[in-house]
Amino acid sequence: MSMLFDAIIIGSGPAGVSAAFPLVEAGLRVLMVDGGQKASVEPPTQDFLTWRHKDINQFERMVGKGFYALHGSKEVTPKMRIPALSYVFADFENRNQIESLEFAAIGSLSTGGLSNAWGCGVSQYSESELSNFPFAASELTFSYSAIAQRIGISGGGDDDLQNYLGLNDGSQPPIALDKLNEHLYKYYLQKKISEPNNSAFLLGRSRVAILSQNKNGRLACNLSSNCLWGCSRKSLYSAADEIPNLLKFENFTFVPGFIVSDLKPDNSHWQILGSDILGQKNEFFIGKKILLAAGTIASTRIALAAMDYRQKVRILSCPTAAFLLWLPKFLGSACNLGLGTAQLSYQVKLKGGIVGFGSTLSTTGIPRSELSKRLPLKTPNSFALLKNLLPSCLIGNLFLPGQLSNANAVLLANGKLHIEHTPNELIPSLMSQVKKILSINFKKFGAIMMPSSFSIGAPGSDIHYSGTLPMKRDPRSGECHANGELANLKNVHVVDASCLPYLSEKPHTLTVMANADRIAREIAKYHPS
Amino acid sequence: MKIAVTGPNGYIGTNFIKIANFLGHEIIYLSRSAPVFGAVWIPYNLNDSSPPVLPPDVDFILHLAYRPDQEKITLIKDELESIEFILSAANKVNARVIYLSSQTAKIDSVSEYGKKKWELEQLVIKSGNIAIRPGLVFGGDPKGLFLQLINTLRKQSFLPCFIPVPQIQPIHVEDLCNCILKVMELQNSSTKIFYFGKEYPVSFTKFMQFLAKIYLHKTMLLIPMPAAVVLWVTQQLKNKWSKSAQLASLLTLPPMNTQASLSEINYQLKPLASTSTLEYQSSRELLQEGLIIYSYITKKRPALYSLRKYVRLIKTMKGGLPLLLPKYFTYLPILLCAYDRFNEKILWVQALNWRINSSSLLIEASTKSTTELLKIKNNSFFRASISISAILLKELFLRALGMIVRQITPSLPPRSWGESL
Repeated sequence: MSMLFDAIIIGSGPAGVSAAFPLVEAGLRVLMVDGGQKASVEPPTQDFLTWRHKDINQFERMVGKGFYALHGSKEVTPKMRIPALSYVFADFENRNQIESLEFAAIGSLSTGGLSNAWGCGVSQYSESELSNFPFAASELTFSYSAIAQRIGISGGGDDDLQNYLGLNDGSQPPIALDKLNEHLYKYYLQKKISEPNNSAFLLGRSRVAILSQNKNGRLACNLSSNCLWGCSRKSLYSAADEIPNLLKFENFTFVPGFIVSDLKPDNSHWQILGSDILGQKNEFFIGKKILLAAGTIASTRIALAAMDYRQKVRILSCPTAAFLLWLPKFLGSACNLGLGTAQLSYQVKLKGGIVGFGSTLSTTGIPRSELSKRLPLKTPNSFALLKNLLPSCLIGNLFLPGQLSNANAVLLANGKLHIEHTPNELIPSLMSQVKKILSINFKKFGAIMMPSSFSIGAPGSDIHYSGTLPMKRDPRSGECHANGELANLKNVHVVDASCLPYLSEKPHTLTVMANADRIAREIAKYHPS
Repeated sequence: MKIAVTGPNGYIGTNFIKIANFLGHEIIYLSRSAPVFGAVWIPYNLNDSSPPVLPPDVDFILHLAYRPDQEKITLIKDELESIEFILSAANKVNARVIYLSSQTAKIDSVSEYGKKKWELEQLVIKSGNIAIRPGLVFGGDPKGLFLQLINTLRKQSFLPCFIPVPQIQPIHVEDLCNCILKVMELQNSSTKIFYFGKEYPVSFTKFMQFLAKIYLHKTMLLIPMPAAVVLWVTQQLKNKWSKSAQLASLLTLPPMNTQASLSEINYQLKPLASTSTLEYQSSRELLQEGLIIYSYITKKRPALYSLRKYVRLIKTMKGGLPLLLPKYFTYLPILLCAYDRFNEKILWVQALNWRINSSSLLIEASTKSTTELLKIKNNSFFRASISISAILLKELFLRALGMIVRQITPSLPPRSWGESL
């Protein structure tokens, strides 16, 4: 306990591990602490349709102990009702002293953080997006490719999204499309030849942190439709799978199950105080530098409390929507297996230069009861309809830039972080614009947007929170320098999404990781071990 | 712990001793008559002219004894004196006194009962001891006020539905006894009065219906009646129905905040529906309810083991409260369409829809459902369109049927669900 660490990283999610590698490689003594929650249900080894047919214990998988899936049934994403993922979200608000009003405040106390329940979408920020950052766009180039190399991504290449999503070099080949997406994409490419000037809607392959070829002990995706239920092959990236690689370094110490409550100055160093998951066994560690990577919401609370900063800070979060696409050509066909996350992605250009991003997903692996309760039919009929209709449907989602959200966080006198959301009046009209563009374009490619299926997500349900402690060229109190260091807390660096000054509509996780990598390299440069 | 109990043969006393013995505590009976063979007994009477002499290692005196109402005339003075004896007896052996007061204790209570309780309470807490105020105690071996309520319900086939509805905070006798033991275990607490009862008040009428249902398997008719009339009647009945004063004062109470006390002893009251009689009764009702919902969704008779999951679900997540669906729904589960996806503003309809949605998942989570819910074989576009058209026709039929069913089933939503217990 009395050991002095060069750097303490709080959190083992994508940002935490990405910051850890450059530091340990440079020889610094690094301590990583996290909430330590672990999966207790093994992922299925058979494909979705097989285990649904044969696994007599699927009640545990679908409903879970103590009827887990039925608690808080209004929660934003079906992922929060999957028993195997319960450890990812367990206890977060409570143990991290968070309270929220009309805003889904989601975080994780698990090793690997929210990446354990990640859809794995990745993209590279454009130069214009990076112009909001207090450093040259080129400073991230190296980190982007280093991270992409390390975690393995697929789908990049020569298509209409190559400039928009990037990541075209060093990407593994795309994962095979299922027949619905294949049909959609084929039609899109044909139409493109006849109508080359449609720039309001561009379609291409999704860039995902999912393997199409084996890599470092992780196996390639075998199209088993199990993405929601846990990937036994580890084709989907989880930061938790990188911990063993970090543990190979002697100068790396990992203490799971340590939830940080406070940061305190200790002479010229920093003390982190915390306790185990039960709130017992209070302990502390001392480090020269602290790297906050606990996830935006938890990091924000720790930072604001350490600064005793009582003003409101803005949370960026992407307004989101989802809808059902019907491909009549496939009416009558049976369920087919495939990748359970994003297969095709699209860029939608709206008036005023606003851009939306979304992806199509297969419906195979989604519980029918999850969808039936949303249909305006009596229950027996909605099940019967889904059985006949769903195999010819895709789910589409949509994200708008985080700057459009209107959420704030403030540190309360009792030490809790209070999050509140006020609706942005622009969103409904933007969403109806998006809906129109999407339904017109998808129709051209043989897909009909189901009437009344387009629904706007609850605030915060994107789980893309960021920007609470933004990096600025001349940071004021509550903001960060370009190296993530908080303006008024020397040697405390923010490396997760809270320091992003801009939240794109595109997947932002890879940018968070690249930025953490960049900051850590800078720290390692100036603080040799 | 070694606990001396006054009034050990009363309603709370017998229930308390049962639990305390079970948990390995030593009990000393302070009573007029000798207890069962083998128990430690010190003869004690509220009328005694000197304090009882206790063994030196007694930890607590639980003071439950009180003068039966017929001896009311000499009551206040006597009881104040007796409690002083108890306090001094405890003081001598360095034991603490826990006095079971009442929710009605109040300096300006409308009833003598409440005023007396308040005065007694003051004596207790001023001497550094503890008072406990329970809400309406029920359950366990019926005795005292609880027995009287049950007897009244047994004789009646209607219930006065008071307007405005009086609110009470019931507590099961087992919960109360556990709470008393928890208070005894507290170290360094400075709380003088503990308040124990359901956190949120429930309507007295609903509570009586609940008692009738679970203890007598009887449904009561409701007859609206202004509360003022009832209070007047109970005043008149004072001498005939010995507990009427106690009841009358309970009905005129402002709610008490029991949360602080419950959280101080870290105790959670059992949901109202978990008494053993109800367990059996509600299992049967819930099995039937599950049968209706499952057959409605799947159009097939479900297996018993899957219905047991439904019963467990409602017991763990909804306190085991049945929806009270009419029996004939078992033969015609399709009638449920009347309230499936219907106006969600009524509590009962919301509860029904939650149960339908939850059952959907429970049904889905089995190998059997896979062929029912997932399309495994390709068929033609044409056949699929026919199926879908048929489904939409069925939907029109169910909607029309639902409209008719709502007209002809006045018993739904059940009135007792207007507010849930």
